[in-house]
Amino acid sequence: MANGVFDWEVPLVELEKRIEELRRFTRDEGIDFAEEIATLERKAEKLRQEIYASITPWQRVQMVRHSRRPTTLDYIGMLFDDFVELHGDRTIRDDPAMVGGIALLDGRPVTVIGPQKGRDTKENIRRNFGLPHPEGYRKAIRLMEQAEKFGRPIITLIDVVGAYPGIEAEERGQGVVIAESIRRMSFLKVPIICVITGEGGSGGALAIGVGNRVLMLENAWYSVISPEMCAQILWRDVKRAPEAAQSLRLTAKDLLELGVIDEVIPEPMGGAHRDPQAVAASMKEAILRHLAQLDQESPDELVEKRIARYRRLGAVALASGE
Amino acid sequence: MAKFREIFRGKSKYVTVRADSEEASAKKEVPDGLWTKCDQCGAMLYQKDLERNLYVCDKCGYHFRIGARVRIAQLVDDADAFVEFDKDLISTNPLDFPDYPQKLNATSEKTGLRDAVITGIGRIHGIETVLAVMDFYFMGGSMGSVVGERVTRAFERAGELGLPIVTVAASGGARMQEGILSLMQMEKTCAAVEKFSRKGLLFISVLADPTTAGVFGSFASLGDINIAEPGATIGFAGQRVIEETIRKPVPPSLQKAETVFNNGFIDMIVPRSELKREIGRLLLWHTAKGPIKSEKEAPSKGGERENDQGGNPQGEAGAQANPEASNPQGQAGSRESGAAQKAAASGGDLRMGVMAGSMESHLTVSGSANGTTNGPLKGGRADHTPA
Ligand SMILES: [Zn+2]
Repeated sequence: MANGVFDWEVPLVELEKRIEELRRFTRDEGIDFAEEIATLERKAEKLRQEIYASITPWQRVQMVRHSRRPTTLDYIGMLFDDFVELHGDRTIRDDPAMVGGIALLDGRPVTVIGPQKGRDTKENIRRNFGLPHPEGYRKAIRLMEQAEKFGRPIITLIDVVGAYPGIEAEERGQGVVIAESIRRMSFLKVPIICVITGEGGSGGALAIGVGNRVLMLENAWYSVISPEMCAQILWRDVKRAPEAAQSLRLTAKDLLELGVIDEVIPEPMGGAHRDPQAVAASMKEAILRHLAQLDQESPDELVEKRIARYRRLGAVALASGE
Repeated sequence: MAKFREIFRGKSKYVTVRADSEEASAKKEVPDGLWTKCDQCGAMLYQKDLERNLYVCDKCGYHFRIGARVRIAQLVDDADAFVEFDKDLISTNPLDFPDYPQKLNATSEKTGLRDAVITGIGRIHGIETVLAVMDFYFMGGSMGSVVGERVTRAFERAGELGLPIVTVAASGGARMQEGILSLMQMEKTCAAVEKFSRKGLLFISVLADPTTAGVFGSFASLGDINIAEPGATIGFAGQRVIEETIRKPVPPSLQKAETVFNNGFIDMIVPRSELKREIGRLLLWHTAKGPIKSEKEAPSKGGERENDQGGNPQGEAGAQANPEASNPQGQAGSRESGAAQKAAASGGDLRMGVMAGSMESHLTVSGSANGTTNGPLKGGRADHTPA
């Protein structure tokens, strides 16, 4: 990828550039290129269809890692009327890799939580590339329990490669806090809607991903392991990540088929960064629609149905002849 | 299915040596097995002595990894009376993951197990208890759908029967070959723990070597009481992943049980020779209906501690020193056969549940096991996710 353009997009981007040039010519020089523009646009549309009809899981993984892909705070800015960020896990520190607080969703207070990647190198360093420490998950647990206290629905926006693998993270109980978060989230008596917006990496994603509804952007991935790590472990060859991405069945379409997610939110061709507002609008529509359904359920029903949702997930068979 | 029955007949196949990978363990597992070299101190140990010593090196105290059957025999009073749950649940290949069925079959043949956990009901110092014991030698003890389902059902049944549960984790994490469905088992088991816990029943989690990634990140962390074995590797991220991330070496002690204990995530570290006694005491203190006599008052304590379990999985020696004999545990005893029967019956019901669930596209039930072709066997680390 160069200048935010993926290799497979180059011919398309070249075409788009030429169309743009002709338009500028028409505007600035008064020469009529309408016919040429129309031809090129048809060509571009055809090319676009071709490229994105055969997009591979691995290409999608790369798309959601695009440097201009909207981050959690970007979506929060677009989805909600207002947002008050809250900080700290009340034990050790505030983890900038996990953000959360109270937001207004069409005037209704909700709690929103999600890992936060940086939008440039400087911010990425501050936010630890969006890889939360245990205190990030403790903050998330605190805010979720606060939401339950005040009867606020919880929206989590998930874009995380995984929980941070580091010395301090281990010392502070990364595994234990993930288990705790999953356990507590499963039993919260308020509606929970999770949206996987980019990367859904393993336990670090599931820890804030136990919902009554789990929605997923079209190009997002969600799996037990990243394709690179899978390839490294299974075949000792990280270059086989594209193959692992295929085998893991980690795309939104796969997960819908497997019953792990409830709805796929479409993205513009080329990825969410090409039209963040449109993606946010679709996401908001879906959240409101699902929330309206969940508003009909009692607190106990919300818990029961959430647990039942996961209880049925798994593929087992019975050996015959026993 | 003849193949499977054949596997289950033999009891001698269990791997009893520690190895860093399945390849290595397969090599070490050669049938002669008269002598085993201690991985820690290098001492040559006579197999019979090692067995009598519960697979702990008598020179340096190193705790060898042990398979689920061996562990169960060490913990329960009578291994033959152990009633196994959900024996016939087997893995499918829901993602059509390359080579997975072959790997499952090869592992089944090698270990005599159908998946990486054995669940069931048995007595520990006379107290009826549900157990879920993992086996690292089955694809690195990785948790896929069958492990998740068996563990979940074990908690559900313990809850229905009003019995305590003891889990023994030995796992590298979630099973990669079942992808997202493996991840979902983390939620299933955590929710099962909480539901069980809300009934006021006891959950003792034993963390054996290793307890990492998705299993440490789910039910194994959530015991009312977490007990680790000495020297066990316990952690979330794999050491290599941490080193690649922080670009410096990780102190080898970081994920040792002793460090994790100091960091506050484990209640106690108990050597294998004491494990059954300690679990028995905790079970008693949580289940006895009348006053409990302290072990300290028992006259025959001290010297008998070692003998209690050493080479004697029946644990009769323990029964003398253990106060349950003089306690209203007879009550529990009379309940046992009933509970075991009920458990077996509910197993049938739950099986029907799976059948019903087969309507759902993601829960596949097929009438037969996968073919028994032998496929290439990859390393233990190949079967679980490090983070
Ligand atoms: Zn030794």
